[in-house]
Amino acid sequence: MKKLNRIFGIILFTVLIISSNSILAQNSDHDIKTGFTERYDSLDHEITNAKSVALVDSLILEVNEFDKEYTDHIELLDNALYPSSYSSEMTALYRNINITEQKLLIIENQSERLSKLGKEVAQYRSELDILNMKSDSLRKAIARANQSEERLSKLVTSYRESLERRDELVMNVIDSMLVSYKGMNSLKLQELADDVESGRINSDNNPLNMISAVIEENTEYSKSQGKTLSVDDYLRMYAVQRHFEDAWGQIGDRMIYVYGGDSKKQWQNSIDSKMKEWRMSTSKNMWVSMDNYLEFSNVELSAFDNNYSFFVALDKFVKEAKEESKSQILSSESYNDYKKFQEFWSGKIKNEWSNLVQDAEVLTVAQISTIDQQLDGWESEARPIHPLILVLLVLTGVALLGFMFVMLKTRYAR
Amino acid sequence: MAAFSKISLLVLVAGAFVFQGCNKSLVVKNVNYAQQLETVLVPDANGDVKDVRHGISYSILPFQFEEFQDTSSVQVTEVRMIRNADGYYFITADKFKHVYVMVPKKGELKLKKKILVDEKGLLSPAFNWRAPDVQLVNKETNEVFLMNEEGLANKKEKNEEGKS
Repeated sequence: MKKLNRIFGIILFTVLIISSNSILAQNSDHDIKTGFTERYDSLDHEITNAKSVALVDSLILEVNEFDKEYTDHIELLDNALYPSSYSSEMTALYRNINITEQKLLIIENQSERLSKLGKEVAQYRSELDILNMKSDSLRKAIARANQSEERLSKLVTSYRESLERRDELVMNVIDSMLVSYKGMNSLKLQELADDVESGRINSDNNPLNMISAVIEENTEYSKSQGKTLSVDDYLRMYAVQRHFEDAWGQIGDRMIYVYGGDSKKQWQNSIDSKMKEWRMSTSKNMWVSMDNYLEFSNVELSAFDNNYSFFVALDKFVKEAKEESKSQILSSESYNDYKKFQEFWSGKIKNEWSNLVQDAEVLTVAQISTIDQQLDGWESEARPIHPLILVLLVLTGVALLGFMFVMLKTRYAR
Repeated sequence: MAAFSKISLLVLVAGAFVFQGCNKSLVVKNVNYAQQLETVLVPDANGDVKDVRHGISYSILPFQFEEFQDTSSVQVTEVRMIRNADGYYFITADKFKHVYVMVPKKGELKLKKKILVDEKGLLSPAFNWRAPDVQLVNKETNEVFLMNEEGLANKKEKNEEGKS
């Protein structure tokens, strides 16, 4: 009991010492004012630089305590802070809390979205790596050329499927980025750039590195193809490149603004140059393969190496063939040419490759429609007259002549 | 001659009245000069202090000379100053033994009262305005003094204010 009293006494003494010290600490009005402004500035600084909503929440509690602590000195502080006042200073502090919290909520939301995007892109990256490995080993196996016909065919099919899946992934990468960055206004972009700079948003996996790597890899793939791929594959690769470049055109400036740091110009130049190389490579491959296909199909077009020259070559070919057909009434040669072309036109361009042709704007809808109209004319000119019709015509003529002869003879007989 | 003197006197009295009427000054009573919060000023290398908020500047060296008989260098780090309701300035500084009550005059501050507060010198003084008096707190010793332009109004014991 005695021991308990002693402990109680020590506690009471400590409390008295602490409380008396706190009272003494308030003896100077100037110290109260200085304490207030120093603590105020410190809290204001902490709030402005807070990096998470959780931190702002804990600061709100601190500000409430701070407000409570100085409520007894409002009159003194009103004088000391003139022309400002205690209430206006505190209102400003609470306003700063609200603004910072709102801003952080938006940033955390953005950060969450970008983090999700980062994970998606990382997932695509690892899938791409796996597909790259698979495609490389398939290509090497095909190149060895010591496979059986059946085995080789299977390898080529697998290789083409692997490339198709790879292109799908590349499209997904750029589409995910397009969705995330396209809707951002300049204010949000500025905030994002500041947050990346200040480390609020993690930029370890800089998306620009990913973009640059994807372009480089695709250029390599495009350059390294042998004769294993068909027009479909090259058309798809061409369409992927066009889509990627189009999407990059919409979000590239924004992404470089956010993630380019001090090397914005360098990033821009580097990606532009790589994109150009990719475009040239896929374009060349696609037009060469298209030309080869047409040659193989016995459709002899004049030279073409881009969308416009391809249309001009088609248009010229159909017009010339139509003119030629006019002089071949009985011959079916022109009609056979028409059928070969029609097979390519309807079977491939307008059917099998239709989506890719439109996506990659190999031909526009208006151009397709123009060729269609020319084709209708060509068909009617090229279709040869059937021999039976000729026989019938001759017989009809002979019958008419016979009839006329009989009529004349009867008239003169009278 | 007597008539002339009378007329002269009359003119003089009338002139005095007219002169007084012309120079009648405007006087505003019950002005409160009290500064709610002391000013803490840091002297520059020349010993000059400037209170921008209240619009006054002066040299601390005359006060320093009174305290230490030395003006070869500035020995004061912080000057504490407050003004009471009647407009007297109360000035002291660290290591000062006195509080100087000064009357503002045209281009000068004139000593009204020199109040001895600590024989050893104040280590950490601070003024508070506790109407109608000025309160001096020695933060090191927790001593509290109440004073006006006439001198110490009451010397309070340690912690007395805090306890009340």
